[in-house]
Amino acid sequence: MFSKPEVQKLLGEQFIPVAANDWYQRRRQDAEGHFFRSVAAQGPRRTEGGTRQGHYVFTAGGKLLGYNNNRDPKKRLAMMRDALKKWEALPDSKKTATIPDRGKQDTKYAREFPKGGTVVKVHSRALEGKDGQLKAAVIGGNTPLAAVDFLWLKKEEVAALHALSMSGGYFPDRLAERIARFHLNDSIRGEPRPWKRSEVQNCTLTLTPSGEVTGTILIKSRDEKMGYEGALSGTISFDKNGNLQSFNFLVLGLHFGEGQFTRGARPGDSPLGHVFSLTSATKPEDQIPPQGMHWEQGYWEAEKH
Amino acid sequence: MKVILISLLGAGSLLGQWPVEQKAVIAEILPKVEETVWLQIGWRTDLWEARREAAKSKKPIYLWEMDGHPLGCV
Repeated sequence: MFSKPEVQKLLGEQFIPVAANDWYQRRRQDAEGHFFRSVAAQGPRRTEGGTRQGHYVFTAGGKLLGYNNNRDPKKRLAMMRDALKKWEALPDSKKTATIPDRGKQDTKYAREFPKGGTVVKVHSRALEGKDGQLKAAVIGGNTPLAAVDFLWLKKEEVAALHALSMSGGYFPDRLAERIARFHLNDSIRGEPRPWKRSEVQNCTLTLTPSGEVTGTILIKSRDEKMGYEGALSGTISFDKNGNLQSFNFLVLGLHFGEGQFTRGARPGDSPLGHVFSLTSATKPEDQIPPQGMHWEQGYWEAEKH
Repeated sequence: MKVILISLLGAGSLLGQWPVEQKAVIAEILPKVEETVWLQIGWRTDLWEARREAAKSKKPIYLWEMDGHPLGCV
């Protein structure tokens, strides 16, 4: 839908396009949350605590002009055009608004990037073996898109890695468990739950003084209906000031099972690939919080909770 | 399958770059150009700032709202 030139032109020229995570937006008790829910309440998404997923068109002042949650591109395009007609019919005074200061944000549901932190982009893909090689899996005649997530590292965590790189040794538990529990999931079809601490049987990552990183990961749910076994290989390097210069990890493994929001898994052990790469995060799409940050404390203190 | 995984990961790696043995599988995992075309739209991620922009430019806001951020995760 959003790859179609017609839609791109329409969105780019006639709208201010915004993408947001409903998990936060529908919960936050601050000006932004109240504003969003007041817009959603003008449409069908008004159940207290319920999802408000969908595509909305509204004015800066908060008047809803269109809503649609249909996957059919024609229906969504029709909604956009209908909303534009309503927009054109508005008096000029309703096309603008005085936007107040956003006030104090609800820190329970607003995530801030840590000062001096580092962003590592994580791409995940379902793979399959073909002619002795691993290829992007074809499932039901289609190749599922690569999933995207972000690994956030705090300044002091990078400093700890830099110190470790002098002598070599095991990755701090906090980072190894964050990587394993929150990033080595099957995120191909939806939002996976993080692995529980008790499910991680092994996630030992080793850094050599030359910057090579290797590791093995073994995770299994208590009921043994979901699990992951993989191996990590990569490199990290630092500049003279101790900042990360590269962070390249390839993790290949076999995943089995499915979660509440990741239905439709392939049967049995299925190859899954993850690529971690440092990003400068200058683009808005690279600045969104890791999916695992829904559970902020668990994400930052993965070795404890 | 495990043989393929082990042979790829056992290939070792060079500082700051992907080894040749791994490049092919990394290319399979990373998104193809056509998978990222939709990111050219110029999505904003701050609704409050988007309100200001919309008010100033006199344009309506198009909000794509999902459980899980639309620009990542899924």
